[in-house]
Amino acid sequence: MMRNFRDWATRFASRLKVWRRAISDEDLDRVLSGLGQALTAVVDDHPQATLAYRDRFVEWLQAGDALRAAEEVGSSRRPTTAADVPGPLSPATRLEVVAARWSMAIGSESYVSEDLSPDLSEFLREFTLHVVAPEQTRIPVDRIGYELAQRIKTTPAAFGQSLRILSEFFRSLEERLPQTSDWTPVIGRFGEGYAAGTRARALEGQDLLIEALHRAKEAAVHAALINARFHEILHTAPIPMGIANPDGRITTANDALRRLIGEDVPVIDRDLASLAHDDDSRTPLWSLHPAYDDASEPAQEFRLATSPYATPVWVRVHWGRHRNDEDVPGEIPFVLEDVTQHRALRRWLDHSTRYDGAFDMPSKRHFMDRLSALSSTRNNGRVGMFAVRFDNMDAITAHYGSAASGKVAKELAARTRAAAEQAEMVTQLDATTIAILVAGPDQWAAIGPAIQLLVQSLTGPVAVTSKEAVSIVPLIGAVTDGPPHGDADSLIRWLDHSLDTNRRTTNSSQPRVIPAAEAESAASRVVEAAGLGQAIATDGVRLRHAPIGSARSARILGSHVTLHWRHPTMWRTPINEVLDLADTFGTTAAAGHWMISRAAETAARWYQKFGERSPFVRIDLPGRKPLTDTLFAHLAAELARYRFPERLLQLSVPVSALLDDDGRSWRELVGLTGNGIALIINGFGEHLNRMPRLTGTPFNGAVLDPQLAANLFSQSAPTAQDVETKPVVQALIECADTLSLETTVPGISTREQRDAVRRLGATLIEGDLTGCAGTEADLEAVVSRSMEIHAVAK
Amino acid sequence: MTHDGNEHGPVRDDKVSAEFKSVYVELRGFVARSALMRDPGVDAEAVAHDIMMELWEKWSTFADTQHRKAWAFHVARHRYVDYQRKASRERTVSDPETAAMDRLTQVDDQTRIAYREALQEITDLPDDERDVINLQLNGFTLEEIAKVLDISTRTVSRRLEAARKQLRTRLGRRAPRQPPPLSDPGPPASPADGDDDHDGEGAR
Repeated sequence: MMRNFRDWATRFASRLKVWRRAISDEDLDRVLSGLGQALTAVVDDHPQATLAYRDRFVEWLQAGDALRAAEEVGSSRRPTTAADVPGPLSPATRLEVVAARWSMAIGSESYVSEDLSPDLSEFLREFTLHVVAPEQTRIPVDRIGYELAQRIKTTPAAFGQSLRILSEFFRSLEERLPQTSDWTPVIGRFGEGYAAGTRARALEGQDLLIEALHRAKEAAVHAALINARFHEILHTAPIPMGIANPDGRITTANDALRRLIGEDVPVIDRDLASLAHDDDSRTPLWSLHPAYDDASEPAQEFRLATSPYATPVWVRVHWGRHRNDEDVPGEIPFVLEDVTQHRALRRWLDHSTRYDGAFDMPSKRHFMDRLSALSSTRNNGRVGMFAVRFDNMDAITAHYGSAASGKVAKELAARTRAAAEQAEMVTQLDATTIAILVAGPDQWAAIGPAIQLLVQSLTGPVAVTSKEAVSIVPLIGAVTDGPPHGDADSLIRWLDHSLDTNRRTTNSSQPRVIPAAEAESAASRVVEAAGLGQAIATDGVRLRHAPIGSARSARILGSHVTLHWRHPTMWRTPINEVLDLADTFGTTAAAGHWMISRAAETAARWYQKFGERSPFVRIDLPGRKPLTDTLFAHLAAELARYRFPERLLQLSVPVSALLDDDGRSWRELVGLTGNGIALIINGFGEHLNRMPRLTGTPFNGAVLDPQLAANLFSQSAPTAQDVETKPVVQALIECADTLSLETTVPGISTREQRDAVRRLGATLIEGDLTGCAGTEADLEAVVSRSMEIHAVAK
Repeated sequence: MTHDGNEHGPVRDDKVSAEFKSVYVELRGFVARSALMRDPGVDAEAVAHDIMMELWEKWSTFADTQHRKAWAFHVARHRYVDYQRKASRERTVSDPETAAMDRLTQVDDQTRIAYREALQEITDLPDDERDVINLQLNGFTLEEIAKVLDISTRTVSRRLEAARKQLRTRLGRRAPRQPPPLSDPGPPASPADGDDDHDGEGAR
């Protein structure tokens, strides 16, 4: 027993690091000697440890000594040449001679600095090892070439000469040491590496230069940059570069420039401007030549140069400064930046050839081409053109100036484009006219509401100054192809005619001046409404479910659904405002339909999942005339599609919306309620005088006016109004009871408030106590949990 | 390549070559081992190659092998840092030197684990103590170590003792069981002892 305990204690102690005993000296000696042997085994396992390697190594070292001796003797007499390489010396001895000659060949252009000489020797030694003893090499031979190209700037001629020297050396090695590897592939791989290195270096140089040119905002900095690196990269850079004299004639051109212009086009002694692309293009491609004698203002312009055998390319000319001081007098270096190589710039240039600068709309020519193409094919049926003319723009220009007028035109153009997004093409025909091309059945179907939206958005005010805004009178003209019209030009003429006719009939007046604040608000609303329409069409809106609970037990009985629109910039705008606005622009119906469809779908799904205890879905319909015929039809269709018990889908409607223009309740309401839907009066407490008129309408519930609910639990000092709130609420709830309506009180945050409204007779509550609004899944999870708890409690 | 103008002239004679060859294997091994003891990940072969080349250049400046060893030890001490930097730039996945070192660090049996841990502990020692242990492992006596490091024998003893104490403690923490002798790995550990290396269930 005791021994067991000791064993256990020893084991336990050995597990705790701090209690472990140090090992004995004997153990340590054993470990150290074993480690020494293991290390020796590792070290001796390398070829370096063999005697053969040792002998070759010593031979190599001796050869190095001999070479130095030969070199010292040689240098005292005259420079060593290929013929002077001493014959009797070992092959490795000649290596050093080769290294010296090689360095000289590479450095013949004074490009190699003193610092790089050790690198050169190191590379050459490695290079030779690849031939003599490949197993000893540490750097791949192509890597040597690459590194060399990266570090040492040389000319192709010098490089070729250095390779010849090397080949000569290897050939002599081959004669003396037949066991050496074949050196031809080594040279080949080296050359590949060198070429890759040169390319990388040139590209790097180009990137650096172009990057620097892009960044340099000041013309002087451009010139300084060009001057600083110009001669260094002139002949090797793949950028078109050259030198011009003060007369503008090219005196030097590098290969890249010759390639750009065309190999067989004489470049020297020509004016740079004369090389510009010159065809019957519709835009001037080559503007006036910059003044060469104005050194303080080097030009940077977009030009189009061309090669006879290639497509025209865009270039930007960067001029350097005169180099009067140290170089040849009057040299003006220039760099043609091939901007077509830059994707972003190329896109922009392509875009700019097809789009007009002012409004960034497709150019008129582009528009006409498209119109002609559509008219000629006629696959899509009728082709139509609508034109919008901002008729009183002249008055705006006269009153506020051309800058303000331009701003207004731009804003209106943006609105037009937004409203006519579905159209085939929108373009600017002239300063005040925008044309909309319509083709295809889809576009024709959408054109009615689009034009309506367009007129409304264009008549909306536009801010011209910080204090004032104007609204214009848009003239709309339309023309469709087919007899009596002929080609595209004829269609445009007819469109003008149509606009003129409209002008005579509308008799447009001076611009209306509006306060800017109102204008801004209206302008943003226009954007919002357009965006909402898009969001609904593309399912960019979501439903948010706020739980509605029982006033007695707080159990979740249903959800109050609101439209949630994640607009990127307008996210702070209350959805009610947007819906009101949407109503103005005719998108309410779309929003209502969308909400009804989604809510019905959710209700049906929940019914399938939760059965009899399924929560209801209550949606708010906007206040202004929501109950249109199409909405009724849509609702009926959805109800027929998803069948679920009565009251699972609830429509919450303000009292004001329940009466028609004659003050009578909508007859359709009766039909609706018999169809499995519940109608809820929203804002119960408002417009009490209208309530008697709704007698006979089968309502199922009422939601207390949120303002009344808020006053009921106001924390501020009691006022006369507060004192009266409670009896009013009580009276309302009693009234609702009389009408057999379930009363919902919004804005309940605490249990005390819930108890209070329960005592007043309310049935349902909504607010922080029941939970904040979430997704459909969130509410579903809450209901599931509550049902599980309920089941367990049972 | 530098030229030091030694007494043998630029071209060393056969005697020097013979001497160099006679100590090559020993010195190279010493240099490579020293480098590895300092940092198991170093490119020991490259360090050894360069130091041997330099040694050839400076052959005449050394009196005897011990002198050369001392010099080589000092050079290796600093040279490996350069190689480490270079290796971090150039080393590829299949670096043969690293692969050789990996063989030692591979966990193939208990003995190797013990050696790997010992090597790790040695490299973690302070510089002074590690140098002493390193030289002792390479067969230097206390006096020789004192000469190489240019310190007193007494200091060598003290450092050696401190290093050994540290190693004994640390290795005790790392490996409670004694490593089996090199020549004979011995019988496998009993199941009860083996439990020490596992999750400790047996101790409860």
